[in-house]
Amino acid sequence: MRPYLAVIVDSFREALASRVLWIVLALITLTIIALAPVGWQRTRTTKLQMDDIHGWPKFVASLSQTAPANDSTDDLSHSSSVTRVWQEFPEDLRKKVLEFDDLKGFERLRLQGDVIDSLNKQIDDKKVYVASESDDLALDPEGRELARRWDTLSENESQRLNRLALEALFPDQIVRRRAESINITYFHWTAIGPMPITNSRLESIIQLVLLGFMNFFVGTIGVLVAILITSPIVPNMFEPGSINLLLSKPISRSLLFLSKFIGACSYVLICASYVILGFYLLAGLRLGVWSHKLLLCIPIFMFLFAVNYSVSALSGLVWRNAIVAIVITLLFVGGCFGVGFVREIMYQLAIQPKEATDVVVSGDELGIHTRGGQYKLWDAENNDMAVAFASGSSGPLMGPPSMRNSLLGPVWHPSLKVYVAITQSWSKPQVLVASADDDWQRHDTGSAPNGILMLDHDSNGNIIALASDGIFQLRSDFQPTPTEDGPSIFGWKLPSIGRPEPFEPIDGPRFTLDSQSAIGHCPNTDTFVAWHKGKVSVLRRTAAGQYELVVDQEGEERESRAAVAVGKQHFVVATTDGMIDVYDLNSLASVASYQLGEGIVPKRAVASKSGRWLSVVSHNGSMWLLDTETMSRRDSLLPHQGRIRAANFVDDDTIVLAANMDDVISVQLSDGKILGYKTPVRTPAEKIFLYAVNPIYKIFPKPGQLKETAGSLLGQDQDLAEIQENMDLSRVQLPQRKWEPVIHSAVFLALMLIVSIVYVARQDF
Amino acid sequence: MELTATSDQPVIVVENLTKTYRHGLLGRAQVRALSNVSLQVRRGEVFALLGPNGAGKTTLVKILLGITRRTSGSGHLLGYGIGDRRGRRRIGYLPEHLRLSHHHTARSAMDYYGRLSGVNGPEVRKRRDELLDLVGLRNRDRESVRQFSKGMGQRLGLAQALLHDPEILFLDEPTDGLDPVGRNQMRQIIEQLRDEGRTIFLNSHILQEVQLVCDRVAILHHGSLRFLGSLDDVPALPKEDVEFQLAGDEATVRQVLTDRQSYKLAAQDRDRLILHFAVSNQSEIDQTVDQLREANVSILAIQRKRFTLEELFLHYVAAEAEVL
Repeated sequence: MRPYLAVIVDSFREALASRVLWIVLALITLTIIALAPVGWQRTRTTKLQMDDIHGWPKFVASLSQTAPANDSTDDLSHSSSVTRVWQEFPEDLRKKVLEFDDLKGFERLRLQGDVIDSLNKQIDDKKVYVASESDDLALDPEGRELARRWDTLSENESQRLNRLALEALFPDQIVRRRAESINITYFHWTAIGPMPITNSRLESIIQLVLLGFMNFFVGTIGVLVAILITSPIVPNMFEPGSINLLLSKPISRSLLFLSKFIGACSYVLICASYVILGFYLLAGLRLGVWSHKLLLCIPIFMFLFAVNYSVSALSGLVWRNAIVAIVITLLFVGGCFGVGFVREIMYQLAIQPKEATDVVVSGDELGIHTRGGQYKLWDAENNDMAVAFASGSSGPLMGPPSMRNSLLGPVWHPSLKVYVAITQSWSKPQVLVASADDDWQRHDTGSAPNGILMLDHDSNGNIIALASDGIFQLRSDFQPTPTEDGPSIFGWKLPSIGRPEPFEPIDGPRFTLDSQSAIGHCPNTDTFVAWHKGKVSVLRRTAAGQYELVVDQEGEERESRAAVAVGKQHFVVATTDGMIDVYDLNSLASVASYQLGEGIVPKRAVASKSGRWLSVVSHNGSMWLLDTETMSRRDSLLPHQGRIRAANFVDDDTIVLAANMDDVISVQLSDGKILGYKTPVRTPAEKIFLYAVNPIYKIFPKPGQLKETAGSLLGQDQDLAEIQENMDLSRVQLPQRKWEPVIHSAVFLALMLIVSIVYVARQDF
Repeated sequence: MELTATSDQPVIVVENLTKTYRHGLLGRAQVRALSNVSLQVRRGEVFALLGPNGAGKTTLVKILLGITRRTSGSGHLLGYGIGDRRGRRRIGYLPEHLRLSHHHTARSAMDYYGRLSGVNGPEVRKRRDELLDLVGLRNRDRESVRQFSKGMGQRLGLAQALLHDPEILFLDEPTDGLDPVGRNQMRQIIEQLRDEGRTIFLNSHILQEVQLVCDRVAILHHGSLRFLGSLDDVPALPKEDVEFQLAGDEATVRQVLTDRQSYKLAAQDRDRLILHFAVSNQSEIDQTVDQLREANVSILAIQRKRFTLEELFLHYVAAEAEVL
């Protein structure tokens, strides 16, 4: 190996001879030196910041409402401490505050700044607590302790006490911050702060900043500079006067090329290590944040460079010209970005809104819910899925999932022959109806109760809605006439006077479920199961038709979200930590437990109507299926494992799967035989995506996404955090599998190296 | 390694070697660089391959070293097949237009190429100074090769080729582009290596230096071997130039030779004439001798003139150029 080691070392020496490298290293060193004085210090939270005051109009109103009628005279005899605070404001400021409502934009902001400054001045001058001494302030224990030592307080302590007094005076408007804040300092100057945040929060902010810094300076600028520096290595080696001498030596051509390649990579490894170690030490020594995961960026960025350099090396090999190698590599980087960008845009616009999230089987009708918030029914005549309901958000699914409208239901109203659904959005939820006879015109029939978690039928066929604090039933006299027909002024609808809301509460004992609960419902037994962080609540209908909480059992607390399905005897809880637990519905005893696998997040749990089958569809497209009669798993029966998006049972013999984008497949449960396969008509955009853009994207390397891999390594908990924040697991959009770019890039790298080696081995020089 | 003196044992054997380069779209255009070349080089001799630019000399060396693939034919290098790594381990090579990376100094270049030749670190360090001394670069061994003249670069190239004590040295145009001083230095080094008994395969088109150092030569032209032999084997000129030194007066000689057109008087002094005859065979010489003796002209000396290397080269190369 000695000769090849010599080649590696020589490549390294060659790169070290580059002036560009030394300039870059000097800049890095200067940056590290410049950032070295950055530090942080803990301080008491004293001063008010702009965002410490919530609801400025209210705050201003509560400040000024106690102002004496004749404001020009300082009526210090006024007993209210709020008034005393008010009186401490300069006169012109008081006048402006009284005009607060009339101020707009920048003027208002400036006034807010002045008010904050004035309050901070009072905090400095010990005046607030003094002003409020006579009042019975609701100080917290820290404040009471400081007040007890009033005479001996240091300046900083008295500022803190003043701040606490202000918080107590305006409990609804001034946010109670942590007792300690953090200042980011540069030498001894406070550069940022005070920030009332915890150390762990500071740590995560620093990690985020470091990652952004690394991504930009190492992952983007650094890799490009490295390509510029190393691109002449291969062309220089293959110049006639050089390569002839090298090839006359008793060494293998392939290994010679690989050694040169590794030499360039190891040089980048050392440079990247220099930068990253520098910042790692800086963050550790100066800020106390030892972000060991940051060091993982070193191999990732080196790998990112290797992928790009494999293109540069092959170009340099074929054309023996460093400029050509650089241009082709830049085109490659641009191409990778372009393919990824086009694919993402097309996916967001054409594909994602149509992806199935749920399958609904109702009599002869077959429907799917889509990520775009639509409910579609199979139109046998046109062999396509036709939109029946839309949540109102028909556009692409941009932004976080929690901000998108979603649809509960629809459920079939047999007597009225309409579908009933509830839209959930930022505004008040609405009850919608639509029917095929009316060409699926969506009609708003009134408001739905807040906090609806589930919409379904009960065993009598009535439409019921479970909310976090009660159960509602669609009125028996519900009329699907739209409220649009009601009175309106300039287009704004007025509440229909005398018109009852569509849902009425079912009387019964009060209960409260957490609004983040996962709900399962068995219509046959009128049983709801709610699961939240390990706590199980079971609601059953009594003979009187009321629902009562029969079980409210605290289990072991688990920081995960879940999908729940309820059968006749059992219910299943699939949690985001990858566990599936089957419980006995009566005893709540765990009957069986299964591990989905690391990183597999459940999407939706469904039980068959009879309760015999329990199933869980996961975000990775796999489906778990349990026959509760034999307590045996039957996943292997199902076709399209890995591409299943949703499922529902027709009966105990048949399951309907939604797979791929929105293909609907009927499968016989006894033997997995496919009974029917329905593929909706594809639009030209979908065809382009499915048959051109996506395949190209799949085979194209994704070096740019390696940076995201680095990001996910640094913030592993982000995946879970997003899941935590979303109510409905089926609507969660999981980040891309973090190792996928690595695998794709590794395959591409191997391919480029093989082509290069074959070229070197077969070429005459 | 002990080097043996010249022996009949061939260390390089080439048989019917042919190389055709393909280029253009789908390799449809073809250029034949070597055509059925066969030769042998014996251990310890200095062998020169002559030929004009583009004759195929470098191609032949590159095939022998495994840098370029042959189209057909066979060959051996130190008993191993062409391109065999074991054979390459025992040869040194100074390529034409040597280019040393500018980040090297003479020392680091020696280290690098020494290691590539399979020499370990201590051995490289031991031999390095000695060889840099040999090529006259000892006192400039820490300078960047960027500052080296072409001659210094060539000498450094020669030093690296010797680092692993090779049995055969391939020198491809070692004096190309050098000034007279540089050429002289290079020639002296080659002579020193020849005296050490190394086998040297020299590619050159500079005939004078070849003539000075070589034992055998081969002339390659348009990829074909036109001549192969020692400098002693250089054949007589096709229309032989025979020099007669005669004792007698010019008038008598001219009278004797009235019917002969193809002679000319080259020199004359008091009692001696030097005449050059262009003869095509021995009978013409015999006839001339008889005529002169009949007229009692004394023949002091007869000397047949042979090709010089340059004449030989031009004979093969220029003759074709005229045809072309």
